[in-house]
Formats: sequence, C-alpha cells, structure tokens
Amino acid sequence: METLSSVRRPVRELRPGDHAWLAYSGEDEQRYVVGSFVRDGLDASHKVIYLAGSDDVDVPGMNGTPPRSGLLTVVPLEEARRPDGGFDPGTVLEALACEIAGAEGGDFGTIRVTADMTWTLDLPDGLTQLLRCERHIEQAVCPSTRVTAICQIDRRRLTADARTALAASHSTVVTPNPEFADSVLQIVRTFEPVGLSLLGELDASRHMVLDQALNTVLTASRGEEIHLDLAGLGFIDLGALNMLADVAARRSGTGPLVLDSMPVQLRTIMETVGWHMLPGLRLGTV
Amino acid sequence: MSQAFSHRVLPYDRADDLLDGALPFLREGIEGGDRVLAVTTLAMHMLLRDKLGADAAGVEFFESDKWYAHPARYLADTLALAETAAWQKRRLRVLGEPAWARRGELELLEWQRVEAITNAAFAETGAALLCAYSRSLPAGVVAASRQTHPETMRGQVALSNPGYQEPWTYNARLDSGPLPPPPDDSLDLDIQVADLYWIRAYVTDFARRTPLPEDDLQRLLVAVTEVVTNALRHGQPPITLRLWLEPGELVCEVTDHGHWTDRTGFGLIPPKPAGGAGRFGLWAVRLLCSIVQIRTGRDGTTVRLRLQIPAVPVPLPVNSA
Repeated sequence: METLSSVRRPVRELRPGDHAWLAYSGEDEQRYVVGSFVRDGLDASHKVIYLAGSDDVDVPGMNGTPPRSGLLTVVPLEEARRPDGGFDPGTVLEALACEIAGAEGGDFGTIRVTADMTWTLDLPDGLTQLLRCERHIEQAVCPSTRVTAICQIDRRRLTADARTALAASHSTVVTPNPEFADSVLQIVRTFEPVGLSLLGELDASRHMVLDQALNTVLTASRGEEIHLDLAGLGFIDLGALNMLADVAARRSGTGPLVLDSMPVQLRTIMETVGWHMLPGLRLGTV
Repeated sequence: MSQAFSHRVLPYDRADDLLDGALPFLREGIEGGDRVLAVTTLAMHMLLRDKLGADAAGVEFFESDKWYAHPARYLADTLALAETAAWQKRRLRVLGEPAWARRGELELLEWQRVEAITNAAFAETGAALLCAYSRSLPAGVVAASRQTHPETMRGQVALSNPGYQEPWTYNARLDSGPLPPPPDDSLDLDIQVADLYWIRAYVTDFARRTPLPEDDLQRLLVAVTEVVTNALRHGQPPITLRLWLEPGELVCEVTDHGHWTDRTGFGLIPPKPAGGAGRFGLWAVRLLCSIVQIRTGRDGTTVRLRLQIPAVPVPLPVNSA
C-alpha cells in the first residue's frame, strides 16, 4: 500500500536487522501493532527500548502487568527539549543509540526498538530532520544481528513525497499480526477503514475464526461502517455469507457491513443468490 | 390483501381460444389497478396488443423463453414481484405461457414441480396466475397441468380440477422413484474429516476438463460445499462425492447414510430474507445449479446436482488421470 519496493511483514515476523516502519492511521492501529511488538518482546525476554513523549507513558502491550526489571526502557523525548521549547533530534538519537549500545553489552538475545517519529515533522524543515534521524537508526540497526526496529509515523501527516522518501529508507513495512492464518485462510484487521481483510478461502472449516475476528472488530468499533476487504478471497460459502448478514442485522441502526473489492466470481454468486437474501450487506469499492 | 390467490390453467387449441380466456383476465387486472404481466411468445404479444388497443399500456410484456429460463430463479423473481405488489396493496396478475418446448425429461419434471409448489409459495400474496397450455404439447404436460392447478378456465368460467393434488403430495410423488444409479466410471471421493478446501480442488480438477463455463464452476463449488457441509453436520458417514458427465450435463452427487425427516426442508420455497438465523442453504443450491434432485429414506440420502454444459463434441477422458 505505502510502497512497492518494501517488503510487507506482520509484526510477529520481524527479525533482527529489520528496520521497519509503520504508517499508522490512528491511535488504534498504532497501539495494536506496537502493542504486539512490545508484548511479544517482553514475553520472550527481549530487551525493549521504547522512545516516548515522557517516561510515564502508557506503553501499549503491557496488559497492566509491569515487565521484569530491566527488560523495558522508556527513553523520554521530554529530556531532549531545548530551552526554546523545540526538540533536538541529535540528543534524542544519542540517548537511543546509548540505550541500544548498553543493551548489546547485556545478555539479551534480541533488542527491540520502537519510536514514534512523527514529532520530527514539527521541527523546522521536518522531513529533512526525520530522514536524518532515520539514517542514524538505519546505521544502528541494519548491521546488527540483534536489533529489530519499528519507526512509527502518523500517516495523516505524510505527503506523497514523504512516503516515497520513507519507503526508500526502510527495508520493511510492518503490518498487523493476522487475527488468523493457516494455509487456506488469512484474516487481518484493517484500521482505515475499520474492518477485516480476508485472503484465501472461507467455508465451514473456518467459520469459528471468522466469528471470532468479526467479534474482535465489532467490540473495537465505535458504530462506524465495518468494511471487509475481499480482494484476496477466492471462495466464500453460503454459511459465511449468512454469518455476515447476521452481523449486519445485529448492527442495524449503526453503519452497514460493506464488502470492498469483491472478486468477480464472488459477485456471480451474490447475484445468483440475490442480494435481497442478505439484507444489510452492501457492495463497496470495486 | 383481500383478494384470494388463484392459479388456473387455460388449455387452448388455437390462438383465438387463448385470447378468449386471456383478454378478460388481463382487462380485469388493468381496470382493478393490478400489476399486469403477459409472459408469452412474441407472436402472442402482437395479438394481445392488437386486441387490447390502448389498454395494452397497462400490461408489461415479457418473453417466455427468458422468463421461464430456470425453475428456482423463476420462482424467486416472480414471488418477489408478487410480494412487492402485495406490500403496495396491489395484486400481481400474470398471464403466463411456460416454455415447454425443447425441454428434456428432467427439466419438464422440475417445471411441473414449480407449478405445484406455486400453490404453496404464492398462497399468501393474493396473486392471480393464469397459465396457458397449448393442447399441441405432449399429452402428459397438459394432463399434469390439471394436477398442479386448482382450477381450469373454460370460456369465462373457472372449474375445479378434480385431479388437483396438494403441492407437497405432488412433489413427493415426483420423487417417489429411485434415481438411476451413477455410471460405473464416476469419479468417487470418500469424504473423511475433510478440509472442504480439498473437496473444491477435487471438483475443480474434474470440471476444468469439461467445457463448464467458469461462472458455473464457481456456482457448483458453492453448491457442493453447502451440500457436503450439510452432510458432515447432519448426515451419517460414510459420505461419498461422485462426479460424472451425462449428455449436456455435469453431475455431482453427495450421498450419506443419514435420513432427512422434514420433507418441506428441501429448499423448494424461497425462505424469508435473513435477518435472524435465516437458513437459505438448499434454496440457494437450487438457484446455483440447473437441477437439484434429492432422495432420502432409510437407505440414506442422495443430493444430485446437475449443471448444463455446452455440448461436448467427443467424450473427454475425464477419469483417466
């Protein structure tokens, strides 16, 4: 989506040496992806270095339990504040590099680093500053056999040029972990629009996982339209269509269930069976 | 809806006989504010327009060949029109001339089944249906029409058909005999704890070596998946899938050793649209396939799906792999 040149990889598949970026659409997506990254790291006793606005930040992925001492380090941006109120990227990066170096000296197998870099865009000549920061991080991460990094950027702040430049400075685009994945079906949450992306084939063998994923999205939604991206869906059975219609009926009064990018073979089925049999389902973007 | 549902047969020898019965029927609807349809041949459209004069503006004309193209789809579409009209406090009135010519034996039976089921499906809509049958049709077709229509029009008078049978009785009689056995060279698959994905791969491999069009293959895959899912959920093992070709048709059969007890659960009447736990599985299977045959009893249950395929010039070695 953001780029053709970068590799897209779910957050759980990031490996040491990966310098990935996350262009999040809002706080939900940001906390969902970064939360996975932090939680998986702490669970595996990886060192997690988290660059934040201040040191009392609500780190995503903590589930309310404090991590084992020394595993998580929060590097507060606050300390890099200059007397004029701006931030000095050099100071921030120095602090970050210092933490990485310190961790490499420790006995951690893997070091996970993540930072929301959107603040650099507020500096004079923001994009240049951001790319300068990225080069520093790239130099710290890529030669390493132990460091994995995710740079988070608010997608809404990016121009097309900025996207291109960021794509060029990262090897990997990080995506959410799938809600479900096996050799036949993959279900991934989407955040803009809110919904799910379905890939593969969906039938009664996997109705349960669809139900769970739908519930997850419904619970997290705020009554907006729910979109299902079907571009990669090769098959859907009548039972799953019924489940979708049931969800739409339960949500009557709020936004409809919108089916985006429906492949032509699925449209043939919908038209043969009749859309009127499945009220509440709407065809979205083609 | 105050008007009563009617479903009458109008046998005719010559076009004039048809006009004598049809014109008062159509005029009554035009005057009464009904939604009036004439589904006949193009030649009959001309005659009707000529006789109706300015009144013809109150009639929608459709061609029989297209209107009566597929039994379940016909029933779905026409029933939707009847329900919409009823909801608008109107009545749907159809002069229909089902396209009986050039139908195979199994197709004839399916259309006769539709005529019978019509009495159950349209009962609540108050629709007025007048079905014209030429006496030049095979004798069995006209005779069957007297069993599937409660009344016959003779001139302007509607007479009860003494041979009329209740829809579900008629339907059960159509299915009373056994299906012919599958051919010896059918391609068989015993379904164990299958991932349905592999069953579709199997059906696809077979169908791709026939001229079955791609969109019909997709319809077949949805239908097979539904029938196998039903067998796995409600049937008894062993479950077997069989595929073979007949002239002009691909046939796919699913058998299991279970026994259905609900005889109205054959998906012959469109269910109400979902919105609760609407189960429309077998009904949708009928929409997706050309013909669906079901037999269930102590010996087990068979669901046979048939899809028309373009003529096959030479037998294909579909079972040779």
